[in-house]
Amino acid sequence: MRSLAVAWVSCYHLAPVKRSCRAVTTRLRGGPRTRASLDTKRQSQDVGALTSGTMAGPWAWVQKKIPTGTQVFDAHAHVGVDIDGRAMTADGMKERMDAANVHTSIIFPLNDPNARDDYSGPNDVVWAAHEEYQDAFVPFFRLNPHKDYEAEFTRCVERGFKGLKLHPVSQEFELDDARVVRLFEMAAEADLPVLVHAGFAMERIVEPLLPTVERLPELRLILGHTAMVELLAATRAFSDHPNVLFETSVVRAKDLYVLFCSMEPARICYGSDIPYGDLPSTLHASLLAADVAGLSEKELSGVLSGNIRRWFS
Amino acid sequence: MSGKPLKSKPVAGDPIPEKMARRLRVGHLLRIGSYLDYAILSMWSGRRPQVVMGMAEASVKGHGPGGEDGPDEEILARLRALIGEAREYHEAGDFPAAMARMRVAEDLVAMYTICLSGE
Repeated sequence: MRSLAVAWVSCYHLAPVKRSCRAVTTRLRGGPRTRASLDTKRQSQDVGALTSGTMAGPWAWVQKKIPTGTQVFDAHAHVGVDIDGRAMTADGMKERMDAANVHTSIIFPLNDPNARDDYSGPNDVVWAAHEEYQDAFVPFFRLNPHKDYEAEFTRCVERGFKGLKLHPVSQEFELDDARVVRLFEMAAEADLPVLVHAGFAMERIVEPLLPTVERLPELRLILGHTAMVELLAATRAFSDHPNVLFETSVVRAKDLYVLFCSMEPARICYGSDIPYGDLPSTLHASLLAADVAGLSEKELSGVLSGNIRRWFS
Repeated sequence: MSGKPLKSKPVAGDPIPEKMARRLRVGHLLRIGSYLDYAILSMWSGRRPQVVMGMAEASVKGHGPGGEDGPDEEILARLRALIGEAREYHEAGDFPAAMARMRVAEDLVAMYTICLSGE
């Protein structure tokens, strides 16, 4: 009897395995391999390198797996600069979306060194990106709960931002801090979705969030990176709260497999986390896990698009 | 679980019982997955990434437990190609291209192992 795993990888294996050193070397510009040149290149991506060489097979498989007619919606991407040196421009983001046939992306600031007190500068960068590509970008603003945020919250809501991004690790706060809970209340009152970083370096997610979710059932909450360290606890705690979505960016396929097997697919949405993630490999992770978990085309289309898109139509 | 240590069997050339062979295949793939984990973390932290990526590449060298015509040679070949190309991109300074390949390799071996464990 033929092995299930072997049969699966054979189906997956659309393109022959090939590795071309020349493809790599000709793609990369010359110059000495010094630390300085490496750091500079770290900030830029050769978009073609993400879908060529050994990535050509996985990328072809991804394209075949996306259900016909699905306009892919990326629920997690950044525009701006980060204190760690990474950066993404509006043009760079749009170029990546076009190359990967991604229709819409939620964008918000990185952990910007120019954030100062109220994040108004980085929020303005995101708004400018949205104005340049209105059909492609859904703008979220970012705040630091430790600072005075009322005026910037009001300014961004009045300007037309569509949601709020909070990062408990970068801004060093707990999800049950009174100032954060106040922000959740303001977002619920303004009918703004909130995307919370619930991924790498998080130690407390479900226990501090659950009381707020139970008290504010109208709050639309996106758990960035699927609350991966508390994945099963999160699916159990939030299963009866339909306004909580699990977002998949840079989460490994094995975590996503557990998610797809534990949570109704209608509660899951795709994300890339550009510039920390990229569209081809994050789409590959979500589709691979969904494939092994046995999601239908309709369910898959919801994960890639409809489950989050309905919040903004 | 038989409880018998695997190290006493098999001797090269001896047939391996099917269940034990599957466990050995899963074990070999879990090893590879863990070295991919190390390498990805090392790439993010910037602590000796080329060395740890080299460990991941070493973990996929040679044939799998089934030998030259074994059932896992197709995926092992794919992993070798992805990791090798990732090292080249990383060494040349294209972090995103390298990380994309390492992610795909890690996801591929994880899903393959899950499928194998369910047979």
